[in-house]
Amino acid sequence: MMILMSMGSWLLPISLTVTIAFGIVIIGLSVCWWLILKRTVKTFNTERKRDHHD
Amino acid sequence: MINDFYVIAIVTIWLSIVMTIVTLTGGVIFIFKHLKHTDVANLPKLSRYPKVTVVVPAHNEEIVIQDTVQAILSMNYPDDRLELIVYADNCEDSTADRVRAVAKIPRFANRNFRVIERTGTGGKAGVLNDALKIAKGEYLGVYDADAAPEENALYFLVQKILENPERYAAAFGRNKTRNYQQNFLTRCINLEIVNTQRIQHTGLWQLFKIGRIPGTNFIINKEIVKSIGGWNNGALTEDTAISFSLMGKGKLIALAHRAEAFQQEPETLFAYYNQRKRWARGNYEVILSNLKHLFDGSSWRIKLEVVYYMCTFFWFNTAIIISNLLFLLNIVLETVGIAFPQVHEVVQLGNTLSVLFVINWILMFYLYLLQINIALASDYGQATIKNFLYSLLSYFTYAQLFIVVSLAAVWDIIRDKVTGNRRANWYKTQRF
Repeated sequence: MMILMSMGSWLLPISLTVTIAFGIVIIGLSVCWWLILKRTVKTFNTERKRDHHD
Repeated sequence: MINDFYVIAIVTIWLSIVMTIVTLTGGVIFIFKHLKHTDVANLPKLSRYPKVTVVVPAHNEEIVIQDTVQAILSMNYPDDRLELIVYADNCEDSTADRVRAVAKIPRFANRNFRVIERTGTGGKAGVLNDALKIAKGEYLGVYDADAAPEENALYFLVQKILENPERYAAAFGRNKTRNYQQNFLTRCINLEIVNTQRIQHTGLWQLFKIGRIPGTNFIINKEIVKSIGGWNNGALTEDTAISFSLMGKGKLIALAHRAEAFQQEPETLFAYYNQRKRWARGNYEVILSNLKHLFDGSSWRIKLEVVYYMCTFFWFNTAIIISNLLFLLNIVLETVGIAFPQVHEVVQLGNTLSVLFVINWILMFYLYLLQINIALASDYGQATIKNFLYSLLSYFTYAQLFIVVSLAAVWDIIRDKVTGNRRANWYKTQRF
């Protein structure tokens, strides 16, 4: 049986760091998603007809 | 040995996520910078209107060609500065007659356009090289036969080029899916297209000033194309090939994000499979022929593009396959282990690592959703609950097709190398 536990000494702290970093970045990007959605929905809904959008 | 493979696969997936986050961040910055409304009713005059020859390569396109010709001739660009050449290339239908019929419509009667019936070789690249010889325009514009450019598409493309005509050899716009409501496949393709156009293209342009010429909806400086020897005759993806050539000359391919055109996407799995396999295969060939630039004095943009393509098509794909195989093998062995306790899994991570990897997987999945839904949120009419549900489903279905297509393309290349058989005919996407 091959066990990765022997690699746990470096794999675990690295995985933990990467996971936390991903989590933080993704929370930040989620906020951006919400801001973009809020702004575009407002823009699109307040126009009488669609001309052109960036 | 197997442990090493597993770790390499996991680290590789992390790297692919870092690439996604970098591109997504660039895309988000671009979206925030360009959220303001464009008043298309009062567009400023351009400093000059260079003559543009729009070329439409068409191979048996009688179903769609008239709409395309009319859409191009209706664009907001001075009539005397626009030349349109439609190539009815090796057609067996009435494509050419349909184009000639447009000349009988009074409002197009005096416009500068013609159809050329061609019987040469080289496919689309061959057509574009022929056009290069006879085009009167300073710039060559290309639209596929199924394209429906918006009224101001050409205006925005030219406007972008004129920002820096010395540096910008070409400008490309955005393509949108015309038939996305057709079925599950077209819905998923639409998600991919919106994501590519609104995150990938904008992200790469925002961060690195890297652009790639698409197959349609772009203009390119005629003299510069001539100086690099034209299009690569017979290339499966002539657009990728010429993008590398232009970057090799130190030129940029600028993103004109307001220049939009609608196009038709495959509606059947068979048509989709053939189109994407051709793209994947064409991209492999271009990457392999440009691999040498990683080690010579080429610009950093070319090196970055080669690394990006290498990672996407070769490295990441292989890692995902290895990771999936190990995952499946583990499940099988674990099941067998219930009946036969002496059988154990191939890889055992231990509790803490297992939990961390599950969290990683959830984050990856969420990043996928985030990327698509940020793209959807920035596009008119796309941020719907329906599209959100499709983005959820597409991860487990449509997104996995990429692996199948990539493997099939590799297989085709190997087969053709062995048999010495390679064709450069028209590879046409079925119209509906």
